[in-house]
Amino acid sequence: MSSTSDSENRAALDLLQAATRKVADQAKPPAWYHVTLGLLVGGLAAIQEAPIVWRFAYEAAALASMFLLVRAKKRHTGLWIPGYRAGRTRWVAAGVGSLFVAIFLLSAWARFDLHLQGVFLVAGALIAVLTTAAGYIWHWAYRLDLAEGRG
Amino acid sequence: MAPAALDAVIHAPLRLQTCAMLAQAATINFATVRELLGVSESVLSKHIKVLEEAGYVAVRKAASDGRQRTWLSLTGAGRKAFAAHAAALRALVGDAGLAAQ
Repeated sequence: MSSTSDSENRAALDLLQAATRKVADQAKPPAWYHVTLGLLVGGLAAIQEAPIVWRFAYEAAALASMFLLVRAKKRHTGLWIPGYRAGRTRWVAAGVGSLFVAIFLLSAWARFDLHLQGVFLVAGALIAVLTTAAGYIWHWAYRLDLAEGRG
Repeated sequence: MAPAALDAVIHAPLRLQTCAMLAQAATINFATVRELLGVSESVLSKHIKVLEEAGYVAVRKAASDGRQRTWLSLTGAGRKAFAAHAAALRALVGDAGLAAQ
């Protein structure tokens, strides 16, 4: 294309950065999304001591609820960003996922090898709080990525 | 070093902002883009058409709650073109800043 002036280029870059900031603001999920997701994910761990029928029923209901929750968030924000997108956000997602697996395995070991009662309930509560917090941390990382032009 | 090349399809202000938004998400609702840009539906449609014809934007229509919603996303070519355009802009602005010092 024909050459553009320095001021035009600077104005274009400002527009680009402003548009990026608008998306970062728009992408902020409502608090109910983080809390509901936290309760659903925490419930997946907490239910492990229940009879198998209850476990399956809860897991099916939780998966269906997560699907509806994601749909509601997409409708609320008007956009969709994958949790594993490149940048700091991917580290947050991978870190939280690994932490959940570690908590779950530790709970299973404590319950089935050490025969401790109620560990899955404690793990569920812990995962619920961590999931809720992780939602906020992820969005903070997303804003930081966008501000630095990463991801 | 070769001068940074700007993409004429992307450089128009509304298309630049649209691409900048789409680059940060997998998909964005047409209505959301329109609200964030503060433009009319017809104006945005015209610019989306240009980006779509260039192969930079994919348009998907989906029914939700009995309403037809339009979702926009950057194609692979669109992401590459936008990344190159943004890099070229930064290089040009950076070069101009250095020359002014």
